[in-house]
This record gives sequence, C-alpha cells and structure tokens, in this order.
Amino acid sequence: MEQDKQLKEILLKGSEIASANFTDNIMKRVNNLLEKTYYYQPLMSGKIKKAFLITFAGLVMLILILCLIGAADITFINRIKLTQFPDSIYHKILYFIILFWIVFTTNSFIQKNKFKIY
Amino acid sequence: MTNQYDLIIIQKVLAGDVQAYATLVNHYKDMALSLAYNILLNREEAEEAAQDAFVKAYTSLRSFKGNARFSTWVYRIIVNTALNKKKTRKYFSVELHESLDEELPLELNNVVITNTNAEHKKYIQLAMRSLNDNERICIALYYLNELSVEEINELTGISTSNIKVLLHRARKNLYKALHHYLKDEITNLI
Repeated sequence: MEQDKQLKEILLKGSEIASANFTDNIMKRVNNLLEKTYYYQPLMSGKIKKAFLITFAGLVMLILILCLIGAADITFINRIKLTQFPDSIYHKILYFIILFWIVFTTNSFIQKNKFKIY
Repeated sequence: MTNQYDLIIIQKVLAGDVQAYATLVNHYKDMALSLAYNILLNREEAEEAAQDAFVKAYTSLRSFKGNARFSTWVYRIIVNTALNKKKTRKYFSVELHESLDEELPLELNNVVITNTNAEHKKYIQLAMRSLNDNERICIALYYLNELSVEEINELTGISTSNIKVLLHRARKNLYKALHHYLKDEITNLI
C-alpha cells in the first residue's frame, strides 16, 4: 500500500501537464461546432426528382389533352368506369388535395431542404 | 470533484450553458493528457488526441447516462482516440520513435544527473517507456487516473487477472528502470 502511494507520487512527477491554452482550444472548437450549420444530402438526387416531375407532368398533360380532344374512342378511356360516390365525398377529397398541396408547398418553402441540428 | 458534481455540470451543459464544460475540461485535462501521452509517447500528438477526445465527449454528452463515473467515460474516449491515432500513425507517418529516442537518450550511465524537476520528469518518462504498451497503459490508468482493476477491465477489455499480472510485472520493471536511471536519486523523489 505504501509502495503504491510512493509509486503514484513518482509517476505524478513524471506526468505531462496540459498547455495553458488547452481548455481554450477545446472551448473554441466546441463553440465552432455550435455555430456550424449542417446540411443533409437529400435522399433523392435532384436529377431523379426532375425526371419524376417531368414524367408526372407529361402524363397529366397527355391525359388532359386526350380528354380535351374528346378521344372517347380510345379503348383504355372506355374501359375506365368511375365509381359513383356521393358529392360530399368528392368535396372532401378535393378539399384534402387542395389543403395537402398548400401545406406541402408552404413547408417546402420554409424548409428549403435545409435542416439545422442545434 | 465528485461524480455528483460532474453530473450537475453535465446537466448545466446539456441545458445550454456551454461554458460550464470548461470546468470539466480543466479538472480532467492533465489526467487526460497523461493517459494519451502514455499511449502515444509524443507530447504534441497526445495533446491533440486529448483535445479531440474532449470535443468528442462534448458532442456525445447526451449519451452519457451517468451509470459510470464521468472520468471513466472520458478516459475510454481518450484511450480509443489515442489508439486510433497510433494506428493511423503506423500506416501513414514516419516513425516517430526514432526522433524521440534521439531526444531522450536511453543510455544514461554516463549522463550526470542533476537534481531538477525537469530532469526527474524526463527519467521517469524514460522508465515508463521501458514498459510495454499494455503495462504502461495499465500503470497509467491505475496510478495516474486512479481507476480500479474492474474499471480498467471495462475500459480496455483486458481480463482482471491479466491486469493484475500486468500491474505486478509493470511495477517490478518500473522500479528496476527507475533505479537504473536515477540510482540513489529515487529516494529524493518520494
């Protein structure tokens, strides 16, 4: 036990002492971390997103054009049979879609794909 | 500083008082540096590793549950950081031991030992260098960082029986080396 004490004393005499600016350096690095803003890579790349949007818009336009020119004799349109829902359900669906796009657009505008950690 | 006091400071830091972290750093910095130094055997690298470890500890402070002592938790980060640094040094940098050995000559028989603290420090460090890595880490953790054998086992993964053997062997070798380097001066150190 006494030997342990003596050895500890000896080792303490041989131990390194941190430099004067040791703590300051760490605190500087910690403060830098706090100020840093982190940007996350979106899960879907911009190109794929664009490709999806263009395909989606193209399909919408195609269906719209087909509807407008009254191409009723196109077979796949003939086969579509709309289920008859009451008007109230159509209104609800319409309100939901409008509301969804309003919230989605507002959220996208606020976030702008940017997330802050701290 | 008790573990309870450490926990209060950690709570403060987590609550947004970032500057309170400086108190923890100030308290453990010398022990942290000693530990890193005994792994890396290079002052600059040890200081860098200790600083990196404290920054890492800050970023993962939320994961500290308080089951163990804060010191043990920090020492674990320091050991891992220093060992990683040592590994990367092995692969990517020049052999530092050569330059260090030049700096601190191992053959001291012809060197006149003066009774200064700096000289003593140098020779104690030389004696520590005569131990192998595991012996040196165990001695540092046990005597300098005041960890128990169980805590060293938790931290390093070395079995408790092996730690006891390492400590016993390290003590023997250390005394032998200290007598070799310091001769009668060793009594003045105690």
